[in-house]
Amino acid sequence: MAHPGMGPVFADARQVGPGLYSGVLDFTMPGDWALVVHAALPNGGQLEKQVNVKGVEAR
Amino acid sequence: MASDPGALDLLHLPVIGRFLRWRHARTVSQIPLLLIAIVMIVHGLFGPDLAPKNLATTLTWVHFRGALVLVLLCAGNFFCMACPFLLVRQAARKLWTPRLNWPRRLRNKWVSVALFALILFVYELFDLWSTPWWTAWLILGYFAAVLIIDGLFKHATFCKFICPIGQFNFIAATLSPLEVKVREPETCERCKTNDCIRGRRDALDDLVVIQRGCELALFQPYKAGNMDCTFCLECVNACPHDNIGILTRPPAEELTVDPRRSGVGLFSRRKDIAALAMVFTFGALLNAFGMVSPVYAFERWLSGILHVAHEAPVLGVIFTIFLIVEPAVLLGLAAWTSRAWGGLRKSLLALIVRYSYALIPIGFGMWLAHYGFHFFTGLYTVVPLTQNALASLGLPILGEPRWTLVGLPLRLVQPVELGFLLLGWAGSLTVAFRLAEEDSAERPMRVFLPWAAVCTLLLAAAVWLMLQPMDMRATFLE
Repeated sequence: MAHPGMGPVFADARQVGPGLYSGVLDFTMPGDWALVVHAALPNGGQLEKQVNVKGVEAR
Repeated sequence: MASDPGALDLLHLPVIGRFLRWRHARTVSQIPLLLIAIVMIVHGLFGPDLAPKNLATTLTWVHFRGALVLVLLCAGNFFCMACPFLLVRQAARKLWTPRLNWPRRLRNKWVSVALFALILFVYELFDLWSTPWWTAWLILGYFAAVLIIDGLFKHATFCKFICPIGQFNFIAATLSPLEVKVREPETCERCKTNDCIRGRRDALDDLVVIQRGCELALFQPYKAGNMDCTFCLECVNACPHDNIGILTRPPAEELTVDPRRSGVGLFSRRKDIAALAMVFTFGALLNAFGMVSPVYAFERWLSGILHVAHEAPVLGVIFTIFLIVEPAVLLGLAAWTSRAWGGLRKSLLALIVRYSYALIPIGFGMWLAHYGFHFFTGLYTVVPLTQNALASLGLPILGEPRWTLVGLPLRLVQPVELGFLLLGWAGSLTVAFRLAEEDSAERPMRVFLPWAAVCTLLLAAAVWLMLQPMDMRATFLE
């Protein structure tokens, strides 16, 4: 959640194809979210990438 | 308002009383907050862009605001006492002495009322909660404003006439259980020095001030209530008779009476303070409205009607509706009804001003519910953020960030929120009834009921807001 102090949500992604990963994430409230992807690279390095997910609507 | 003989004096308590009587107590209280402010500025400017991972946004919009209202509710205006901006100002004044007096026509709350509303507006327009960089600049801007205003103008001009946070604290502190006040009024009657306001002077040179008196022009023998009191405790240190304490009192009692207050005057004649009370109350609802789903539908609807694609004019209309039109209509109707029904002779404006103070408790209940929600549900987030900040500096002394540490569960926080709202509503009804009793001893219910209806409407709106799903977006147009 983009607002500070709100609880983060965690999920693992599994490889479903070459360079393709899939996971299910349950956004717990509407609003702007930021998806932070942590990945372990084959060379032992770490990657962190942020993807903004704006305007999540309530179901 | 005379001191209650049974009142507890915080200055007589062991340890805490001794600390507060120490003349460096304020400076020692300010230093930790100054250090935290520096950390927030540095992290805001150079730390992560993501607000929940940044100390500037998290400490400002979650912890500081929540702790502020809770301390005001449970104790008094101790955040003004520990204000870090004033520590920097004090240091600057050792190098530079202000020469000017604040212009007479600006010696009121109108500028600070406008700034208070402006801060609420800017908060929504620029989504300050989501931008560490702007939050850091807001803190820096505050430091700059204090230095400029109090560098040019004498006394505590910024605190009394400018600071929006200070005005928020002054209004909320009318509900606090503690007040800096005279212990024995008879001692003041015999006192010839007036040191509590003049300051203690050098015996050989009257122009040399050894201990400062009240910089906010509050003369203790005639000070009534917490309005304009920053709990700086200069008066405590200046009083040659050790006759000033921090005494317990019934919260909100000062709103039920209208004495001539030193440095403030009569509440019933202060339209500016009444306006501040209204912005405080209706701004509480508006600020909470900005964080729930219906506001986005309303904004989109308004932007369609106005044929504008920018957020500023849409927000401008919303602020005009909720901070000007709604209070004017509700309070105007209540004043008209109570005057007609209760047979009062006061003007409509005089009634609106008088009863606007009765809305402060329900407004404070809303601020408590809103800020308390963020504070309690995000209470522990400071732990992983600090761990992360230290780790990013190459000092993982607190271990890896535990991002799962968040705060108290919603099922525990929501009843507390509701409790704050009900407490505020009960406080507003009590104040309104006491004022109505004074206005019409024979028919107080007729005067009271219209105001009770306003308080109940505000409660209903507040409960509705608190039950809405939280929805924080940076813009309604995307």
